[in-house]
Amino acid sequence: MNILEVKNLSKVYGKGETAVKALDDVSFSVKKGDFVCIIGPSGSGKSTLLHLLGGVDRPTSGKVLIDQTDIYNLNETQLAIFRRRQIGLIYQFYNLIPILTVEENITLPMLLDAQKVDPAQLNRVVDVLGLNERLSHLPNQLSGGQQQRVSIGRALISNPAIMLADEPTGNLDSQNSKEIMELLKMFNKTYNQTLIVITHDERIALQADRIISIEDGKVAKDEVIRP
Amino acid sequence: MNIINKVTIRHLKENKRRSLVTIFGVIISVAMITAVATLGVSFLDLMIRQEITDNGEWHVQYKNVTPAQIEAIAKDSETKSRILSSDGYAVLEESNNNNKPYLYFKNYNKIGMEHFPIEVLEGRLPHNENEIAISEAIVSNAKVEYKIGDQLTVDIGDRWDKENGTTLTQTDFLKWKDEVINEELKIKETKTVKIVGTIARPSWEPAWSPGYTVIGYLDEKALSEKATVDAFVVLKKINGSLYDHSEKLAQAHKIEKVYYNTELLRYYGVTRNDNLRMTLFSLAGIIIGIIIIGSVALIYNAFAISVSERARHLGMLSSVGATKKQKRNSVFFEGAVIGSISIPIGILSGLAGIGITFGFINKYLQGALGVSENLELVVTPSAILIACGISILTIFISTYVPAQKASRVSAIDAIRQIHDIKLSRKTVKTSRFVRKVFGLEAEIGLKNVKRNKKRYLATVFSLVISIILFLSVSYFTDNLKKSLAMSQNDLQYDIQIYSSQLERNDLAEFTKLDHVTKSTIMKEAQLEALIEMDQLPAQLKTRIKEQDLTVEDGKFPYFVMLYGLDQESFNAYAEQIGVDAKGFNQQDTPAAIVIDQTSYQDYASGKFIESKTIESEVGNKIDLLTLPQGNTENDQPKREFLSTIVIGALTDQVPMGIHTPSLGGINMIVPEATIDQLAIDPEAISSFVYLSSTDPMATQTAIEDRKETSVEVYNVYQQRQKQEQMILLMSIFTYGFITLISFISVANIFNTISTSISLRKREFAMLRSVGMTPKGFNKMIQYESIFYGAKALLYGLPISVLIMLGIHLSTNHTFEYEFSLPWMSILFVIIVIFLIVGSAMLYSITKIKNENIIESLKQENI
Repeated sequence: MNILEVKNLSKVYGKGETAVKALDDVSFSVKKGDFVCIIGPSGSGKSTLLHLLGGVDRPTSGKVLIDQTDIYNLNETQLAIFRRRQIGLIYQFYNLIPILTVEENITLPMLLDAQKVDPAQLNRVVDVLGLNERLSHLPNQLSGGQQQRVSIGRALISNPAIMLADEPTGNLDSQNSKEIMELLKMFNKTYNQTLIVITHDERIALQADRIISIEDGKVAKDEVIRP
Repeated sequence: MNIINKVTIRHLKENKRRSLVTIFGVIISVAMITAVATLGVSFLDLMIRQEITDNGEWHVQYKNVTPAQIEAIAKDSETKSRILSSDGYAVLEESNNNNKPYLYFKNYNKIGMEHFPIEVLEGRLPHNENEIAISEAIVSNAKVEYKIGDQLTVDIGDRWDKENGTTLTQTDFLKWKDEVINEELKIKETKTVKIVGTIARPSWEPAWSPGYTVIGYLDEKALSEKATVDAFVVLKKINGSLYDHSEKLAQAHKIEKVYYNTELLRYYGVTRNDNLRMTLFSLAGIIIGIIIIGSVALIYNAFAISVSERARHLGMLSSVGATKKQKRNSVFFEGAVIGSISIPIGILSGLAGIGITFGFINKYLQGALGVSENLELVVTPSAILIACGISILTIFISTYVPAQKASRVSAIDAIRQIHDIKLSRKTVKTSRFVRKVFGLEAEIGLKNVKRNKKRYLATVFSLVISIILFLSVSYFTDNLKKSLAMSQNDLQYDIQIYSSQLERNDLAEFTKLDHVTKSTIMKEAQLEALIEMDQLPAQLKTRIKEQDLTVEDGKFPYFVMLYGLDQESFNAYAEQIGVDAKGFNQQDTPAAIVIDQTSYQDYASGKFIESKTIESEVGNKIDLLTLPQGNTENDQPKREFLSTIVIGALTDQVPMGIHTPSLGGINMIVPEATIDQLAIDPEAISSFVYLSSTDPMATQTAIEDRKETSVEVYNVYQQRQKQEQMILLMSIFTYGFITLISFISVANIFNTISTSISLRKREFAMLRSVGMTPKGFNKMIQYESIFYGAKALLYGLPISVLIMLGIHLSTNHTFEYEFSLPWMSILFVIIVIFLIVGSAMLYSITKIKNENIIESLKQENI
């Protein structure tokens, strides 16, 4: 069952002569529980692709279907709600809310939904991420690695359909990078969490099950390396 | 120019919007200071010119001086010019106006004719003692056909009151008794004079004076040794020492009476009434202080924002080797740039703005209030220099702290881009309550407000300043209005006609004249009453103790003025105060409306005081006693009981024509019929007619045309004009001020909020990407503005109240009344604050909202 379907997705920036085709007619699908890596050089359009998958940008044409829902058919409010529940986004620069505690940052999607947080779920996530001691701290009291873990926690907490990570280790030292990737892989395997990672680092890409290469806005290669 | 300054200028150019808003705010501030200084100077100048036009230019008057004394006055160091005048009356035989049977000779020396406002209509002014110029009213009003070239032989003398044995002046009515003139002329000299010109009726001649003005020539060289004239002195310098100087001069030369032109001197700021001066200065000081504080808040904020935005640049400069001093000076440089643009523009626009306002006001003034002089823009170099100096100082003070902060920005701080330094849990702690009741978005909004304490404080501070400014200024305005009203005895009528002899029906005829819009016929009787001690107001009890006044049997003798209004006026009055007029027409125990509030000037302290006249209730009875006739100094006053009246209503509103009494007096209003009922000696009743008219001068002419004897006419229209003029001007001034001050505050708030929001672009994008709906986003921003507004009001309102108390106390030197909070203004302020904060946020949000989440996330604030 395809948890994600991308159909003829295109994104053009600018108009007329200055038009730039960031994505040109991209199509592919992802099954639930897959660990996909999208790789490409700088300016290849991979970040654009990720953002379109995450519903934080609007395509010029094409469709994105997450769990059978055509997300660009939703209005802004519906899309926002959908994002809360079904999409987890992890960024290179953590992007935590500086005035909320670690716990609040992690549970943010559910708080926005006015949902009660399942303490067991929270504990599980926090445990795995090793953040038990830091729950009531503010982001500026954490190291880079810890902050990235918090964003992973936030991305996961509501068991989203897909988890998207944009260069998650870009800002971390090698030790932390290793740990973060381990965590992501663990979530993917243990909880069958669909994971799509964008990177330009081949070493990271080789840890995935499937690699999609993007070049000049088009899919250049689509390989499954771990069936 | 060195590189740091170049970077500064470039930064200013790139943040065009914020730079422009800051410049705008500073321009307004400078303009206001300039305007205040210029307005004050110009206004005083107008008052001076107007006063001189109306009443002539003189400062000190020495009455009845001999030539020797005149010599001494002329030689005095402070005397600039010396005017001599003398006066006298002569009978105008053919006068058709029975109330004006005299010619009033006013003789001036040459200088005097230049300094007193005399408008020549035909011919010229007299050049020697045998020439005169006559008032055109002699022809138009007395209907005596004098022409230029006519010769008159007149016996000139002083008016003498036969009954009381005193000299009468131009301000005294013609004395009648039983339709016969009850005064005579004590002849001083006989002269033959030739008419050489006609003048307009002088403005200094009261409408009710019994003599038509004739201008004569006073030849100082021809004065005999013993002759006495009045000398008026125009001083060289006008300052506070003139009083002592004049009094010393008078003492040295045995001059008995010295008078001062307080009306004119007041506008130079040299009044004897020290309390008034202190009041003026304290109020002016407060107002200017407030402008400065408001401006400092704006400029400080703008520069604080600029520094924190440039932190990265400054850090980089530091890492490249800029010294502390260089970094600090970059802020001063920014201040200088903004100042050099804003100050000249500000001064020019301040002058222009005030000049335009004058143009606008002048048309209005001349049309509605008949002021003959124009407001002229008086630009003194000192006013401009002061404005300049204050502005530069303000900018310097405001940039000092940000400059110090800039000097301390190190390379590391900037590179690491720590925007929110030292955030701790405690700082952003909010109670669970907020989330439960208002929702998560509200909680985030509140935390946002708390996070950057310093910037939050700065925003709140500028909001607080706006609140304080508005409330203080509007309280000050209301205060002034009230003080003016109190000090000038509210006169609600244009013309008062007094007669001790006319029948009521004859009096009623006056109310039917053309132009009369409202009229009251009033009978007035003076009576007494003994009032119990427990019904006396506090001030009276104090005075009784202090002055050891006589109390009879635990009761204090009150002076009662009983007024009987014509039925129509009484009904209107009763309706006005919300009482049923019928209840006062009962036969058995007459009921009266009692005025229980009064404002008067306490002559001992010079203060104006508001107080109750009596502490009593509706339904209480008061015994009216007649005032004994004859000499009361030696005998025990023999009062006779007249009637009991019951208090039908208590009010603080007075009907037209009634002045409130001092302490120990009380006014009672009854219908006419009641007075007729009470057996009061007709001799003790005076009758008045009060008229309001659309054209008081025409009405007065109509009254005079009737040629009623024993009628005295007061035209107070002119007096009231001045009062209204003051209040109008003051209102224009203060409301303009409030508007401009608000602009400064709005600029400030706008700057702060829009910057704070654009700095958080990334966070907002983050929240949206995590799934905050547009509605939730709006909610967050709304709550943030509500919290800002609420916090600002929390601080602003109490401080404003304190300042209001301060203003109240400062005017307490001269005017004493109770303190009351202006609730409407407070409500208005609350609404406006939320509007301002809300719109500033909305505007900033709208700009961000439509931006792409991704763009924001990737973007940095340059």
